[in-house]
Amino acid sequence: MKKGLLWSLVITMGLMSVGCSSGSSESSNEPAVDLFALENYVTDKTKEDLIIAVVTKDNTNNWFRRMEEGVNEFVAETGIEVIQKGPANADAASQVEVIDSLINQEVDALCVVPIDPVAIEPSLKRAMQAGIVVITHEASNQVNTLFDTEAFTAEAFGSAIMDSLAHDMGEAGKYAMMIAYTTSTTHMEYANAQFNRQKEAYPNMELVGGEAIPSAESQESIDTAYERAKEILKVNPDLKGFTGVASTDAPAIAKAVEEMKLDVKVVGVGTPNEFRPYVESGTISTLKLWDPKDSGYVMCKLASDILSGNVENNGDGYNAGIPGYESMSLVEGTNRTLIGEADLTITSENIGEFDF
Amino acid sequence: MNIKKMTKSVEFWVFIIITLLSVLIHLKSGLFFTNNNIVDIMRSMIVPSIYALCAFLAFISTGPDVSFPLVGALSSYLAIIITNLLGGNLPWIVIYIIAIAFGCLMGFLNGYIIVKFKFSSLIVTLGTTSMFSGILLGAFEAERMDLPTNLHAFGTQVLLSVQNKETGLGATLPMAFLIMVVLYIIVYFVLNYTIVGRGIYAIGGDEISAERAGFDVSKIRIGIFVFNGALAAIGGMTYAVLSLRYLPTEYAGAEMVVIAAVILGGTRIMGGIGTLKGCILGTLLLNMVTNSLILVGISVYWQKVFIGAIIIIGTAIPALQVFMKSRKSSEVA
Repeated sequence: MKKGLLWSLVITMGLMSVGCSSGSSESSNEPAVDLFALENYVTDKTKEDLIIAVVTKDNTNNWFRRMEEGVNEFVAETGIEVIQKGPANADAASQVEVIDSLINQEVDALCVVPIDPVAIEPSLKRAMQAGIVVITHEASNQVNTLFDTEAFTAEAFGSAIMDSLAHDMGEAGKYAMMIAYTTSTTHMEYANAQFNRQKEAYPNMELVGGEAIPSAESQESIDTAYERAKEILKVNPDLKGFTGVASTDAPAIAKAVEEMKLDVKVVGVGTPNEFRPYVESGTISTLKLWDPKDSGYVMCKLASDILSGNVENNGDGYNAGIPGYESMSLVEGTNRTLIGEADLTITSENIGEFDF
Repeated sequence: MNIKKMTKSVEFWVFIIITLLSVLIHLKSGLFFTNNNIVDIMRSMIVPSIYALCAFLAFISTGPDVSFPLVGALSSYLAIIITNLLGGNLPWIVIYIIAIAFGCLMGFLNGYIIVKFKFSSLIVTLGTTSMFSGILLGAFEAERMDLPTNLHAFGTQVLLSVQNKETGLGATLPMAFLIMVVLYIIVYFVLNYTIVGRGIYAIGGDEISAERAGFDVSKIRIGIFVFNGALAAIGGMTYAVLSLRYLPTEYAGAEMVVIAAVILGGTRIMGGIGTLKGCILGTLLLNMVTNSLILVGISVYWQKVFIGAIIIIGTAIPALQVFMKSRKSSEVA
């Protein structure tokens, strides 16, 4: 009986290995083109004949209007034609349509800010098969892209938030931090990086609540953020600083601080237009983010450099030639991600320069 | 005799729990019974207790209504958009009335489908919730936006402002608090002093008997849902007014907490039983707990566990009472 079982096992395994080998012989029959080899995308077209397309999430949004400024700077500098297009509706299906129509127009490069990276994978793959350079932004999990570009790592950004907070509150006193959800990976990375930076560089500062990271969850609701901020302020009326990394957090914290008549510096992450009243009144002392103008410029620049063969296949980084993006580091994960050091600091002094 | 009767009511036990918890919170933090904290809790009650009315009225007359956050979001969105189209200078009360009109319309849709096709109110309101959210986010592409000037100004009007002498912390109760008070007075009056009020309890208790007793079940039921639509619209507008910003989806998902609070307060899911007192006490209990966990130093990770525990313990009490009662009566038999 036992012997029979053993034999059947051996036979099964034998069959399985046959299955495997036949499978691998099938795949070796496929044409072997490496879609990710940069040399396949080098073109001998002149600058005047190149067309780069930038696809946004929503072209009517101020964020992407700001991006267009960077794209226009690139056009003025290089003379290459760039078309920036957004979907009619800000949904993934409409974005697929835009990408597909640009592939049919035979553009030379596609720079995409995906609404849903998964939804556009097939289209991007088709684009690459057609020899179109594909660059993405804010899509570290996008498979079919030559490079994803990011302004900074979560760690670097978290440290930068702490540096701003420490600067604003005089490097001493109690502080608290709020994020959207403890289950949000990026937000937890920001929070941990803030704390680590404080431990490393600002010994006179102290995280409230027994150093629990984070101090509170806003659940991406202005109302919840406001209630939680009030509780934290009641327990710690001597609080000197507060950070909030979801766009709901900082305005709500600022509202609580103003109503309770306290002097607390708030550092938040969000867009200037959303935070303007509180930044102007000084309650939100610093606003941290990245500039979409630079993101637009960098995507176009990288695409044109690949087309002209100026980007090394296995290079360790990339220089886009503008501040914050001069030595972008390469991180290989789901895709090849190029990361800059381009956090932007907005205070009451320079908020007037930004309209997005 | 009177005390014995009192201890049998759910409201009494919820009140006891509230008292015990608030003393506990105060002992642990020293911050609960301070003028600014009391005002903060009153402020945080405004929107949940308006929505609690929706859940309460639906339960006692028909069954669950889960559509109120989306009815509130969509009707207030439409009101704000229309106001902006008209130049943005309408008085705040007119903006509220526009929202209420849309809310009634959406409530009528709920009520009509429930009555006409005799569908479960849970299924119907889940369906309309999905529709309304599709219209709001798909067709209108609603986003966060600033409020029209008059509405914003209403949001900053202060009814009561206190400052804690010891800590120097301030707290303000917005004028919108009065909206909630007025709504509770109206509902209290209708439920207790009108034939319609009797009818609402009657149709929830036993539909057929209510019909035989001469109540127009369909009319009352549709009426309740239309009124619920109006309440939801007021809740949605008030939420925007308190946040000083229109927020399309933020309250969606919180309906379950509102419903839990109402059930905590002794309202029976199967209809016919429940008091306004219980409704407000249940809301107070849940709201007080949610807004005190940081005060007593419970970490972010444990907060949800505590809220869940309160809901389960709170609802176990009435269930236990029913169980005891049935055992007693079986003993007698």
